[in-house]
Amino acid sequence: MSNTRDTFSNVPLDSTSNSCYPRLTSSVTSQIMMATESIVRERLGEQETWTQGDSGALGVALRQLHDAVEKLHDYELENADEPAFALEFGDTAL
Amino acid sequence: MNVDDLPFSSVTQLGSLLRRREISSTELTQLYFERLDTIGRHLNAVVTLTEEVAMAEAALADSEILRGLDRGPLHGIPYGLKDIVSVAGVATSWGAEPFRDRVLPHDATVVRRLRNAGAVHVAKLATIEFAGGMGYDHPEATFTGATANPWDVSTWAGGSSTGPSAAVAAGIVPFAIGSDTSGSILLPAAWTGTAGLRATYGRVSRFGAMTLCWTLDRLGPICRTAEDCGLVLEAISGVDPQDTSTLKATYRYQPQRPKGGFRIGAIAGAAKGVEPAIAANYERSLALLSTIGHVEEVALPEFPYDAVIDVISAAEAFAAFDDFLASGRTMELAAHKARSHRLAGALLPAHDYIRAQRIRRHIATSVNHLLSGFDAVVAPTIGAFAAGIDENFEYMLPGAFPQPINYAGVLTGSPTVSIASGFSNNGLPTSIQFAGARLAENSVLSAASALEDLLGLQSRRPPTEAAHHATTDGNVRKA
Repeated sequence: MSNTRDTFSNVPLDSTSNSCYPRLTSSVTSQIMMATESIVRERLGEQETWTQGDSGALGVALRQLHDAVEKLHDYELENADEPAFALEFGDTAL
Repeated sequence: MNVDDLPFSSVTQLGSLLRRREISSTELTQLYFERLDTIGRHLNAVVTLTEEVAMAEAALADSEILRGLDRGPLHGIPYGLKDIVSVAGVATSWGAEPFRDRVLPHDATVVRRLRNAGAVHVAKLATIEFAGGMGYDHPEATFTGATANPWDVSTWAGGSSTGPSAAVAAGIVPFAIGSDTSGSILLPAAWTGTAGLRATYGRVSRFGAMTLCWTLDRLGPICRTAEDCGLVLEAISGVDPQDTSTLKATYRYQPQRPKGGFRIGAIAGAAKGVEPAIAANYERSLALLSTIGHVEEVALPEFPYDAVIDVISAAEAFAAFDDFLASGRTMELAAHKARSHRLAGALLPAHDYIRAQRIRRHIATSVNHLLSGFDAVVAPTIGAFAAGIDENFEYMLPGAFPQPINYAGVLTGSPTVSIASGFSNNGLPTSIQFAGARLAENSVLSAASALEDLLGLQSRRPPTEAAHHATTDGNVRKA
């Protein structure tokens, strides 16, 4: 799966569905992680409690989430011929 | 009955003794309290004992039974609750230090229903903090400390329903209520050799229980037998206006023995790569099942099961705990991973959550169609033995599920029961799961119960019975 790059923001864009919105790709994970860490530190007001281990755990979680999202996009691409189906959230779908 | 066997009796057996007045509910409750206070402490399986209320409930049950009032198979039977389920006036900690003394004002619907059925609530039982919802990779991820496995106290009982599974396995409660979002009933049931039922999504009201993921969470029984799971499910199921996901369909436990025998699907490749003793006991189980039915190999449809669960749970858990995450109190949790792990959910775009739910719809339809062709589809519940109580287990779990039948059932909302399939040479239980189509609890429980009869494992006792040796001081308190 290929991504193009937005000239202005250098953020990878989702070219797979003609979307012009950035996706949670591996190349932006570190940027997102740093931004999140900064927000969390600010919100908590306890910078000294945030450790490198916390950053590491968040980074792992983001990478896992990124991989999961990639899998979903790949699945949709590979099953593009599947008929569309109505969106029903879990409570009613089940 | 030998008095030593009493604590390990099934609900059915205990009910029979109560109705024949060979034992009273008060005596039974006292017996289990003594065990909760000793073995339960050693295992770290108990959070709170509810002695005063329980003795009153037991006395009421005795007087009703004496008067000829029969509330059903659970009448007078003690039970425990995973400590994510609220009981008015009793601390509900969610296993988390920030909430260890919090008392909620209401009874959960399952508690009300069990009270109506005459059951006696004796204890809040240990759970991984937030039922694992903040992320964890170590058995110590709870303020009560790691819960030991009664079959080998150097190993873990499995999570996140740690207390319920350990307590039932050790004979310190006859049954317990656990919760399952992506395996938290089945995994600990498997590692403790108990019967754990994740019933159809919507069978059991979640009102009064901690929310982790609205579209995945289920409450269910952990018992000594599959039959007991059916009896408990009948008591706790039913529509509830306070949980709009509950189903209108009434559940009655009715054991079935199909005329032509059970139709069993065996997941292709399910035993490949699992521990040799688990594979051997699984193959033996298949051989036994073939004597009471027809067993054929089946393949699960290919879907990105793990990715769908990861995305749905990231979004829903973050939404459920947004306020708590913002409070910064994750820093007080026992699991280091829990301090920041869930924050990733804040960055998940809505369209990816919707994408996951749309793919889930495909999964639910396809998997339920497959399951509908059988009374049960089987596989080892987990391919690895109980993790060490002091070890990081994350490394072992990815390879422990060679086929995604658990995740398929999670996303389909279909019922699955895990039962013991045997033991390894080192005395640890092995397990087999029976998955069925939505609403087909009676089919899976009947097939599982038939295998239990053939295996004859019920007389086996954990080593904790012979040696009540302490591993920790525990954190038991009395309400």
